[in-house]
Amino acid sequence: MSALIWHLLLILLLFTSCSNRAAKLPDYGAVPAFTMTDSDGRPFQGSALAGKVWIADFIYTTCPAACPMMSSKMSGIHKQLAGQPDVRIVSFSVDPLHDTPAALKQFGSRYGGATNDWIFLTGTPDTVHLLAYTTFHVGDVLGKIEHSTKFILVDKRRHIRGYYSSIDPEGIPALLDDLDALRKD
Amino acid sequence: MAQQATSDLDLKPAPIILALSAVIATFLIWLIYFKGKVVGPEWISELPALNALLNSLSAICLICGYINIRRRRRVIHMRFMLSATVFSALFLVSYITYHYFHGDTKFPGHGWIRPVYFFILITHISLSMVALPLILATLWWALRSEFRFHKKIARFTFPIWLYVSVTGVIVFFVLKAYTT
Repeated sequence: MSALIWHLLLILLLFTSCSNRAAKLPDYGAVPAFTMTDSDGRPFQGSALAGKVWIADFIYTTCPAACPMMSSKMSGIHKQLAGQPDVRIVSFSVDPLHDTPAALKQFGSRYGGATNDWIFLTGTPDTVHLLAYTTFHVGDVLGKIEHSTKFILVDKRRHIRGYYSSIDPEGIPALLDDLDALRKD
Repeated sequence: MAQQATSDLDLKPAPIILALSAVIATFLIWLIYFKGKVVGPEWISELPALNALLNSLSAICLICGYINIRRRRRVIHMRFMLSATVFSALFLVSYITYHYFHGDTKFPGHGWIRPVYFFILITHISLSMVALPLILATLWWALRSEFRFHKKIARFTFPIWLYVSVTGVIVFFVLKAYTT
């Protein structure tokens, strides 16, 4: 019995002793400069996210099941991170032709979003395609609408540092652990 | 991020959790105090030791899970807490199996140990009934990523669950010391 306790404590120690975790996170490349439109209809520059660690996801307002599930999970993260000035959440529409700023505002506010810290963006199909498909590799806007249910972590220098399942129970705890590491970085 | 006054508490599972807990608690009271004894196989007498072991494992996982969330290691916290849940669930199965055959156990001790034993036993039993719905609710909000509610309710769930696990082990050893 006591041997078991010591083994568990040893495992605990091993798990908790690694330092500088941010450097160990993969780098999936930089997010290029972009200009889109926020849910208030104002232009939004990607450079506004400089110095922030941000979580991105790709949704569309008429999506039947996945986006409400993702947005409700994201809402929990949003509330958890309330009051942190160096963190942002950015939800990109992959259906920019139908998702007007007003539609995004209505969709976002259903989850407590479409605020200054949970931003909903739409734009030209070309911009959305560049970001969703070429940069983040999660969806193809110019073909049929499809998108990944993953949440994506981007560091202060606008580099993609992690992909996390919004369905797998370990996905969001892992995202929040890595978010902490990147905020300290 | 900006402070928000969102209080959209998700109470969807509350009726199911409360109903399930009430059914299990009623079933256990009936099983232990009203059903009566049945002659069972010999290995049944080994189950209290297994129950104590499962309770100890649960308590160790709870403490490790708590330490890890204080250090903001959420993934490891989750693994320990899910392990604690599994150990407690296995305990419940083993406990029900034991009491299907055995009924309640009379405490033969006398003197100062008697009120101490019954204080521990009665708080253990009553808090275990509270612990079950608390554990289910805490787990539900974690899996829904409603971490604010998860944290608020976990402040109650953790000490109660830990107390129930530890006193389960204490009851086993006190009974063992006074019955052999």
